[in-house]
Amino acid sequence: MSRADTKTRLLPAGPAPREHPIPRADAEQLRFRVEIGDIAVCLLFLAVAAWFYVTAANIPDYSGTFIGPDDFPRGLALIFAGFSLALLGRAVLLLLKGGYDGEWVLVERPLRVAAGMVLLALFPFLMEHIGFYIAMALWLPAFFVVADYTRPITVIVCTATFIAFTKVVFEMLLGTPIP
Amino acid sequence: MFDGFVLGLAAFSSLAVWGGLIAGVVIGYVVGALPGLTAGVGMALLIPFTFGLDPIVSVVMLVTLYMASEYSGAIPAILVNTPGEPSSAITALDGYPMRLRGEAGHALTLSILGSAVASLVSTVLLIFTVGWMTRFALAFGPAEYFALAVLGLSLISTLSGHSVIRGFVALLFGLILTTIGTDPVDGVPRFVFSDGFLSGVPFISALIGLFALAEVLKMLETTNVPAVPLKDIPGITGQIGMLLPHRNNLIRSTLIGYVIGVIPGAGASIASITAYTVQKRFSKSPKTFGTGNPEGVVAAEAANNACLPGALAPMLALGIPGKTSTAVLVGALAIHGIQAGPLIFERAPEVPYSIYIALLIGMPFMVLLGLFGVRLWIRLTQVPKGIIAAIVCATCLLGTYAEGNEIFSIWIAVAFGIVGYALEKVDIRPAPIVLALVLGYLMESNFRRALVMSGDDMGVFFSHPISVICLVLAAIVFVLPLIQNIRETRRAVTAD
Repeated sequence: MSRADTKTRLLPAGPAPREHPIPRADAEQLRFRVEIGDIAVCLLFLAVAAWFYVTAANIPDYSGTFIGPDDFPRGLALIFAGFSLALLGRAVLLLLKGGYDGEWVLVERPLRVAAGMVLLALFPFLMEHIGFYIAMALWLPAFFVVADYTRPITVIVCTATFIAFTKVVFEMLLGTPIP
Repeated sequence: MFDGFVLGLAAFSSLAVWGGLIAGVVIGYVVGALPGLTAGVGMALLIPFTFGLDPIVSVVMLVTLYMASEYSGAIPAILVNTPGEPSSAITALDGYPMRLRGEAGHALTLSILGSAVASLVSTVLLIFTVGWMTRFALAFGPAEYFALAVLGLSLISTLSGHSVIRGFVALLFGLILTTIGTDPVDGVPRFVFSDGFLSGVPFISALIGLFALAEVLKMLETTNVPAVPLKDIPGITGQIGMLLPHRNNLIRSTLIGYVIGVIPGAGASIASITAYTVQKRFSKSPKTFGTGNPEGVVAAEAANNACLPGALAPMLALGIPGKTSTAVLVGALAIHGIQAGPLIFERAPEVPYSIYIALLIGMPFMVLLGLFGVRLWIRLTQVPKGIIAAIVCATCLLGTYAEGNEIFSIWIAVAFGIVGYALEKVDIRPAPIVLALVLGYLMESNFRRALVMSGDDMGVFFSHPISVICLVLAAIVFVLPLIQNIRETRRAVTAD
């Protein structure tokens, strides 16, 4: 077993050895150290754990038993915060250490991914306000464009087929009330 | 038993019963392949159409629908990382990486054959052990359920991959989310900041978000990369031969699936997770699990399909529907004036025996449909990624809505999709979150119920044999991989 493998095992949660040269970020790529991602995720998790812990105090306990409805989430929140802190501490230590031979988080075509997220979040909003069929007729071609597929005939045919499929299978056959 | 089989076979002399069987397989195939539509939902939707049918025809149709949908959930899981059924999420862990290597045909073939053999063996087990297994299921009280959930959660040390701490963080994130909703014992709302959360975080929406929508976002990164060329799959005889190297795995996973299926409330997802993890322990190449190891596909599919006949045992013998699907089946029988339970074998023996025969006969139909379908399904992998991403995303949004008929479910799926994508970027995998979502509620509710029933006596968990066995197994399952990891590390350091 190589020294690099050994290093990974000694630090189970640590960075894997770099097998390729450090990836170069360009306009079509977002690149940052995995520890930065860890710190962001752990801070978010700590906030989640804190919210659960604090909010659990407002849960009324009429049980009269050893473990009430608030105890389980509180206990879990504490353990969750503990593990998140451990991961956070490890990431901070690695970040402060000089030199870097670890993993990188790579997001290819970040603008498309961000646009995809925005479109995803937009869909339920559109569906709520203009109904499923119109929302889908607008949303699906937009998603095709974000997904880098721009042949108009195919986009129109796919959108129309999907809407017809929804109408026939879900609304007419399965009786799903489509708004 | 012989007389019962004769009655059941006599029922199959009717063309209507055969029609019901084929219709059930075909509809189940479609229902299972559509994300958001589970077997239970599909069966519930079909019930109104069965009002006017003969009871045997309707039962055969519903049972074969259940069987086919359990299998076909693996198709989108393998092809687009979108579990058609919740239990197929485990199939996706290795099936999808196989598809990315151009081995979609291999993965689909293993899933259909693994499902078929497991279902057949499990049906035979059901026929001969229905009485014993029912007594086993009845032995499960809150303490046993809690211990079972702990055993399931202890699999985290195997499922974590190379980073145990990330696995734990993911598991705890999932566990804390399961505390949202109405309290399982006192009925008070907890963390319910929207009415949609009253019954907890919608599981199907979370699953679709974590797997499918996160995958769609990943696809957006590489829509300009051409699809991986397909690897050839052999003819039908060769396809059947693919399963031979996995026979031990198949037997183990089938038994696990059948036994877990018998326990009311345990379900196919727990069976898949358990069989997958057990196989990982037995495998000669455990490190390749999660990166496209065919053993993972066989284990998950065999277990979730073996679960179905197991779930029928308490339903037929006691009238206890352990799952949504069997509850729907009990309802369908009741509509026709047939009461599931101990007397069904005396008052309407043709019903349980028709179910056995439907499972045995329906399986070859499903295999044929599956094996011929493989050649068609794998062509989908050659469709441009942009089209797949858009259609999968739209289907998931529609399926999520159809599952609960509320837009709230879509919001949840979208949120889990974005969070799942972000977490995967920092190597926090969805599998531990799914494990927690499946088992969290089972663990908390039964832990507290056991304490209430025992007057806050913690000893209750150590005074029931099944509970003690499960807890001891949980400790072994949890600690063993960690010890092995440490040993390997030390060995590596010494060798270095």
